[in-house]
Amino acid sequence: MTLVAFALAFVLVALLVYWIFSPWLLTRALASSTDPLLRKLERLHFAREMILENLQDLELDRQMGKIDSKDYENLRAKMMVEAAGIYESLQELENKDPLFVEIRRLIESKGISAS
Amino acid sequence: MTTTALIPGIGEVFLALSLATAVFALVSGALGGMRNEARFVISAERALYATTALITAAIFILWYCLITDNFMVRYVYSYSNHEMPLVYKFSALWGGQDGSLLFWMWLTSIFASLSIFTHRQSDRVLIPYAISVFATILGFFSLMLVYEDNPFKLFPEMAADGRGLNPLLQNPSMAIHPPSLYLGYVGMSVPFAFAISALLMNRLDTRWITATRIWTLIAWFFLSIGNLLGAQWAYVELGWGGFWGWDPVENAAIMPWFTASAFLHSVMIQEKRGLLKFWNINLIVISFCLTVLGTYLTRSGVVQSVHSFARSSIGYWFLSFLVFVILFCAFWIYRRRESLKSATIFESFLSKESAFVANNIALVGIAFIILWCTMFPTASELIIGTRIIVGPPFFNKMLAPVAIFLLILTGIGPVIGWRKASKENLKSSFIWPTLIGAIGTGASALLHITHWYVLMTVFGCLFVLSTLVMEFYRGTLSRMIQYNESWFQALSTAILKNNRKYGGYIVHLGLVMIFAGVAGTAYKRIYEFDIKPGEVQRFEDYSVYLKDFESFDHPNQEETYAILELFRQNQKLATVRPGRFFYKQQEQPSTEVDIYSRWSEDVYFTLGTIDPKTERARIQITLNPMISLLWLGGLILALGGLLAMMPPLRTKSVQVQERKV
Repeated sequence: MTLVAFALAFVLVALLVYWIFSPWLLTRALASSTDPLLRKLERLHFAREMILENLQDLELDRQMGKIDSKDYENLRAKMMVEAAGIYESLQELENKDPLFVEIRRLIESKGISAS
Repeated sequence: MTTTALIPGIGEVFLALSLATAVFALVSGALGGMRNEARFVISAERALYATTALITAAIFILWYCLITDNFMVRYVYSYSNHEMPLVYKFSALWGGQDGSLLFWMWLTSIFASLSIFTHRQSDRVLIPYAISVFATILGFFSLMLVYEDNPFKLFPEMAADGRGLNPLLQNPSMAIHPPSLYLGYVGMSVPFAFAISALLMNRLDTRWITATRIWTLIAWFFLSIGNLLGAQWAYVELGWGGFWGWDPVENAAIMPWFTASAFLHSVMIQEKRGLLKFWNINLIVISFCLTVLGTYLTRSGVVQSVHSFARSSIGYWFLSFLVFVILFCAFWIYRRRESLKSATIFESFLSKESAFVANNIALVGIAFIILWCTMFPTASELIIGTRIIVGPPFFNKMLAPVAIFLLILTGIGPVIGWRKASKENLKSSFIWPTLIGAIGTGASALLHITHWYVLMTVFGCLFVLSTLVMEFYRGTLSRMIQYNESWFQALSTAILKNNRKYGGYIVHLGLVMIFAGVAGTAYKRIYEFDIKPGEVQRFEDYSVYLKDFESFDHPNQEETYAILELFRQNQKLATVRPGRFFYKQQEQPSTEVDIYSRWSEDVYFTLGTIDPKTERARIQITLNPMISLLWLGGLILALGGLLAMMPPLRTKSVQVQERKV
């Protein structure tokens, strides 16, 4: 009984060690992209989310009377300029990157709606 | 080898293997991060899951030993016995030092695996070093358990019976309180691991914050529940009529709660405005270090506490780990100081950002006052050779002004706008709350409430309550006007769409009630008398009649109860049964209080000694005004936390906003 238990334990440990070590035998794929273009794109997406959330908050603050109309107009104008800049950079980047150009071409050729 | 020795032996092997897998995960994760190679990261991830599986197996083996009364295992002998009910055998896992450390490590491994698994695709960049940080924590615990505090240590022979769990821990809330607190402690390791990973990778944008938002909330939620249950346990079990004695162990548990609360507020500023990057990294490091420091204080014997573990050398382990974490983090924060500079600036002093900064100063200030007062006896002993004890009155005196300042800020933060609040906003938001607060304070003064901090708490509570009502009202009204919704639909949609914000408001409501409950303790009254069966004793407009005594002899303990009838203005309210237990195995008495609860106050009964000759029993009665508000506030706070954790209701507003842009 004890011998069987030890044998079973040994097999389990061996399987565990193999399961943990086996990825070392794989090819050297990257863990995360180092492409500066993709990193910039990621940053811009983050910035876009942030500015949209800020615009929503500003709108909510105005509706609830937390900000006067003059400050609201000023802040909104500032944020819209910032947002426009982010959208412009995003579009520029997507037009430049061959991957996005290829995706867009694929979409157009298959007639899939981008929205 | 017998099965009784073999099974704990397997547990020990699992522990040793978990140390090996944790070390492997640490190295492989670091290699993956440095070389950016997927094979190392996948391998590290698998090693982390394997560590979790091995610790889980070790935990189940220890539970098995406890439930099957395997007294060959020293831990089982020390914290369990034949007569203990099954639920306490189960909770004995965290009743002693070795078991509680194993339990802590198990929870950390579960949090680590879950957070890595859920973020492995969405936050791939942060994963390698996050694994290494988790593996370092787990490796530290494994090393300590294997070499210093092994819960599977055996006696040469099986003992006939165990010593049993400490009687004070044989209470239902003790079965929930420590796990809840531990979940809070270990939960803080998730934002810490991701923050350190962001620091090492120099990716100090808001990614690590958004990735760990839910985990921080979970940790905060469990810390809140754990502390409240601890207070509840102290109230019903310790028999002194209070719920918080500023004991070092209580302090160790509450300090990370304050810094985690500060963190939850300050990350919003980084998310919305890109400010306070440096502060947020520091705050999460402080919160994590406080959890380690708390463990060090509880287990090293440097502070004296009613519920600390035995003095042991593992204190040095924790101290070394703490020093390592502080030095490592300080080095990397210094190296990344340029990236930690804020992206924008504060636009106005009158803004939500400023209110949050003030709130952070108050919260962190409270944590440091508690830390200072907790360490003061040890520091005084080191410096002047005399241990100067700092008691609850000192804590209360030091903390009351900051706590009231914090309470008032709780009312200011929600109603003030981001970036720049208008004068009209300030006027319309604060005139009514200030007036309501002032009227309430005046009315309280007329009712002979004279303690200045009770009066200030009345003002603060009414001020915050009014701002919260206004905030809900305005939110509902703006939706009713904009979307033509009924008030119910507008209110529920506003809450579900902005659940994080409104969840926070509900947490604030719970805090207001907790403050009111705590303020009530200023008017606590204690009555003590001797009484024998058939006699009546009067206090205020109450009277108690001692009907008789009742005794029971259970295998684990002897129980004696005083059967008392409580009357108010000659009308019977209840029959109460305060008792005294004597635990045979430990030869230790314990007090079992009975409480008659009303909304306005609790009548709290404690049975003292009974003179067998005269049959006179010593009864202590404590009248605790408004204490029920404290527990109700705790419940509301927990509900608010749950609401904040829920995923928000998806609407089209973001797309609408996007179209506008």
